[in-house]
This record gives sequence, C-alpha cells and structure tokens, in this order.
Amino acid sequence: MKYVGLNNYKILLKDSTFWHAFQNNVLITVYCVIGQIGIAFIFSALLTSKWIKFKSIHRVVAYFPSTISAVVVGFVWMFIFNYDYGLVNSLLRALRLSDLAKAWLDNPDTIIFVASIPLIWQYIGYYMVIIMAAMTSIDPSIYEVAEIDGASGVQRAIKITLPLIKGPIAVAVMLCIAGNMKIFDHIYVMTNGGPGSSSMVMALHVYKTTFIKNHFGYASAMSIAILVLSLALVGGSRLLIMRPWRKEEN
Amino acid sequence: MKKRLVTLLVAAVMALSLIGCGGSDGETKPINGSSEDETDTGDTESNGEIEIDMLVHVSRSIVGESGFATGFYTALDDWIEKHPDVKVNIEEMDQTAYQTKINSLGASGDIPDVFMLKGSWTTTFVDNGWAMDITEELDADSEWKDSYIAGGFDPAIKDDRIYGVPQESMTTGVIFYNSEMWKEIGYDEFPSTWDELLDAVGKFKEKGIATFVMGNKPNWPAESCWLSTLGDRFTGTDWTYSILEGNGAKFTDDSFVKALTTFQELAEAGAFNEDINSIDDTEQNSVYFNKKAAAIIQGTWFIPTVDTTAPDDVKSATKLAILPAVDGGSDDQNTVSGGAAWFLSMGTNVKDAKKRELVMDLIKNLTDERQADITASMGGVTAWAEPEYDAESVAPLYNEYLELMKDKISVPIYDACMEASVIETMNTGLQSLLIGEKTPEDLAEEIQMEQDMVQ
Repeated sequence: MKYVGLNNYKILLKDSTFWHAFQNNVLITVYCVIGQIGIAFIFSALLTSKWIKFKSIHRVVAYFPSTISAVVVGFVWMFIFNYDYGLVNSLLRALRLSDLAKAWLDNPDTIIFVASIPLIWQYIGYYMVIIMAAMTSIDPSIYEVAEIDGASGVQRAIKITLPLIKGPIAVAVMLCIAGNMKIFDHIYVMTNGGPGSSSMVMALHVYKTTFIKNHFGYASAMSIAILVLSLALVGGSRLLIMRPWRKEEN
Repeated sequence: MKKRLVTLLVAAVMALSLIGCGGSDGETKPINGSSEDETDTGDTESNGEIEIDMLVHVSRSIVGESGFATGFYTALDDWIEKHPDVKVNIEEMDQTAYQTKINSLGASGDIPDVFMLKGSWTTTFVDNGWAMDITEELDADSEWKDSYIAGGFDPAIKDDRIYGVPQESMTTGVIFYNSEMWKEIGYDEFPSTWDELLDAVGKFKEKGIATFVMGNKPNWPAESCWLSTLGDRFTGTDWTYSILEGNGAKFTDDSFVKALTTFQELAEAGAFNEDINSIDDTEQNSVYFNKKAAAIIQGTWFIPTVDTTAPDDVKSATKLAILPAVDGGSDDQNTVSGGAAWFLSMGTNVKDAKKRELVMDLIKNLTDERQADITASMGGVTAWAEPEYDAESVAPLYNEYLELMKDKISVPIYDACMEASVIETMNTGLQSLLIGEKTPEDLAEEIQMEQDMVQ
C-alpha cells in the first residue's frame, strides 16, 4: 500500500470511460425524467378524471412493475429484445416487417435509449402514485370554476394541475435523478455495459474497476466523484424547479 | 462559535478522507512459514480442534455430471473422513460471485485458508500479501510437483516462487463443428487454410447461417477462446512470454495488431451471429445445438455439455478441429490455447505450523491423482499429466479430443496469465472491435496503456 495523495483524482479526470459513463447516466436520466414522470403525469391525469372505469385495477397494474426486482426486470427485457426469439422481433416478423427486426442490444448508437425503456416501464407506477396523491389533494372546486369558464381538459391539466403540484413534481424529478445516478442492476443484467463500453454507467464502471480490475483505490475515488456529481445534479434540478431567487418578486 | 468549530472539523475530516491510497505496487508483506512465538490463537479453537476455511467455485450440486466437481468432492470428502479432528468450513458459489467475494475477503484481510486462484490474479494477490508462498513444500515433494503437465504451474509463479497448485486444465480454443452442415457446402473436413475458411463463411452467409456462434456478452469468449490462439498464431509464444515478463514486447507490435485485424476482418465477412454481444456463453450453445450456426469455439468444458444436452443428430455430427493456419503468421501454426487456469492456493492467514501442514496435505489431496483419475474417467481434463481411466466408458468426444491434441502445441490462454486489468481492457475492446466500432490500432494502444499502468 502506498500513499498517492490526489493521484487517483488526476487519473479520473482523464478517464474517458468514466466520463462516457457519466454522459450515459445523464442521458438515461433525461430519458427517464421525460418518460417516467411525463407518462406518469398523463396516466394520473387520466386516472383522476371521471371518464376512466376500473380505476383501481389500472392503478394496481401500473404500480405492479415497481415491485419487481431490477434483476428480474433486466432479464425479462433481455428476452424481449433477444434477436432470435425475442418478443419485439417475433412481433415484427409476424407483421412481415422482418427488415425492422434488429439485434436491439447490439447497436452502440441506440443502446442507451433501448436500455432506458425497461427503466421507464418499471417506474411509471411509482411516480404515478406520487403525482396522483398530489392531484387528489387539489380542491375540485377550482376545476369546476375552470369548466364553467370553458377550459378544455388539456388546458386544465397544464394551466391548473401542473402549477398546483409543482412541489411534488420537483420531489419526483429529484428522486428520478438520484435513482438514475445509481443505476446498475438493469444494465448489468441486460448488456453488462456492452457492446464495448457503450452502455457503461458509473456504478457499473466502479464495480468492474473494483472487482475485475482489482483497483480498489481508484474505484473509491470514482465513488466519491459519483457522490459529488449526483449531489450537483440533484441540487441543480431543485434550483431550476423551485427558483428560490424569484420568491421575493412573488 | 462551538458549532462552527465542529462543522469545520467535520469538513476537514471529510476532505482528508477523499485522499486515497492507491495501486498495489507497494512492498509485499513478509510471509512467515511458521512462527512459534505467534500469539494469535484465532486459528485454532480453544479445545484444540483446527478449523480450515475454504472458498471455491466448484458446485457440489453438479457432482455426477461434471467430472471435475465429482473428482474434487470425492477427494475432499475422503480427506475430511480421514481427519475427524479437523473441521473444514467450505463455502461454494458460482464463478462470477466467487470472483467478487474472494477479492472483497482479501481486501478486508479475511482471505480463506484454502481458495482458488486464477492465473491472472497471481501478481495482485501476491503483492497484496493474500496468497502464501508454497515453493518449499512443493520442492520437498518433487514426485508430486513433477506429475503435472509441462508448464502447469507457470501462471501461478511470480519471481520464481510458486503460489498455487494447478487444478482443472483446459484447452480453450477447440472448434466444435457440425460436420453434416459443412459437408452441405462442400467441406468434408474443417478448412485448413484461412482462405478456405473465408470462402466457407461466404457460403454459409448465403444460406443465412452463421459460421460461428459467439456469446460474447460476458466479454471473455472472444479473448479466451479466440484471440489467445489467433494472437499466438501471429505473434508466436515468445512474444506472450515477453509481455508477461515485461521484456520489451508490446501490444502495439505489428504482429499483435495483425491478429486483431484478421479477427475484425473475419467478423466483417459475416462469420458471426448478429447478436454477438448480447447473448451469453450459455445461450450460444443452444444456437449451435439448433443448427443456426455451423460451428462454435469452446473450451474442453463443453465436451460433457455436448454429450449430455445436444440433440442426437448434432451430437453425432459434432467433430473437433483447431483454427486453420493464418497467412503471414509465426512459424508454428499447429497451436491452440490451453493449460491450467485455476489453482488451489493457501491464504496468508495460515500462521500456525501444524495447520500449515494440514492445509498443504489437503491441497495435495485435492489436486493429485486421487481427483484427477475420477475427473478423467468422467471426461474431464485436469493438469495432472497422466491420469488413469477407462477410455471405453468416457464420452467419444473426449477420446477424439485426446486424439486431436496429440500433435498440437498448447500456448498460453491470455486471461489465465495476463494481468486482470489488462484482460478487462482487452475484453471490452474486443466487443467494440468485432462490431467495427474500434480500429485494431486503437485497441492495441488502449491495451498497451493499461499494461504500462500496471507495470
């Protein structure tokens, strides 16, 4: 054992795989904030409206995926994306669209998007619960007034619901960022960071550096970097949404 | 004021904790053979019963199926029965989990008394003071030491000291091909030149069949089963030894780059399955069994798999070969990667002389003819040079394998002897290389950079 001071951090700054992994984390986070919270918002709006029937069944089904272990989800989607017998390609072939059937997990250009799909799918229900709870606490008389004024459903969702549940949305975004900064299991199971290192995420890079390359010291330095980067992103998102500097104007 | 002081203090502690300790290039721990004045009584229990902790990745659940597991556990049970006063605590797990666990145990100072050492870990484990030097015991028992295949100990040797006894031996680059499918495109035997191979690839492609199936998601098959042989065909074995000993050879040398280029060209010609990087080393077997691929390069561990799980027509059509000769390669083209990859080692926590003797005896029992004969009679290959077994009763493919290997030369398996971090860089890079995302030159440079960092 040798004292190396800040040397590991110097290596880290030049480690292209780590920064590529960070970029992937950010990309996954963007996909997930849009996919998870966006779709959860639409679902919640539908489920709190009066036109949808069997609401409790829908709620249960939508929440169900978040109760499954990430490893299981990874495996299931790995089979769905399988080139030979996967669900996606089988469907495409059945629809005589064989040209569109691809080795989904083998294309480095689209792999991050493809790998984000299971993540989005799994956590829609989770954010739906948060957003629905916020929506049901809005006073219904506000909607009644808006309806009398002739506001359409979409207008009500954007102009009334969204501003009134800003707080819970901010919490959901924060959870989403924090969750995606530590993403590991899905990727580990589905692609193991491959092909090459095109779907590498930070936690997986730390894992491989520790347990396959045996560089414990450097991996610890990376873990600290992940902490700092995640804090920065979470803090940044809070600032953007809450905009505390505007409080005085209001 | 006081509160601020505490805050400052906490901040200072956190800042300090960021500065780390690195690398394993420091001095090694002194290793004591025996120590009479040892005050640590943690090794032995108060009533004098000795406990031996073992961690292995051999599963008892496959005893009767896998030759190696059967030989291993038969020998172990036998030893335990003969030593009623010794308590053996054995923990078993699969190979991936084992890799993680043994490294964590080592890092936390809890290395088990007996464990399995991978050849590529030798440097790290020795530098960190986890693996015990057992040269003296082996030298004292030369009859035992000399009964292994030539070079069997090599990956477990560092600075002329031996740190492990070879167990299972393997040839990693054996081609298992479906002779019926090759006959259909006009090849009665496996191609013997690279041009013929490329020609066959074209013919299979027309029929919509992959010539070779590779499940490279766990990223070692491309390197362990392919590049170890293909690389040697271009560089020659001297180059590999020069890399291992740091004697001037570089991954950026022309010969190695040429090997990478040839590998990439083979992939570009369409020799592999589309989903090469998303199926794993088990899934690839079923692609071969379902005749969606005409051949597969696997290790000797695949022989029992073919014997027990392949459909009958595939099983009877399966024949063995090695990669054809390459153009512009080194002198010896009759080579295939093979050798011992896993070793049984003693942990450095064994400090008591009596316990050390017992552990050595256990290691000997688990690696000599007592397990080798049983393993061989079930079609398994160990590093024991001449096991005794009944050739009639083993899988026909095993006898064919022995026949094939008679005039072949075994060359080092890269991941059995090269540094783990270099191997990981190589493995990851090969995934990109095979889908054309990286040039051979870039990859060679990357591997060399990692190699420079290690040395």
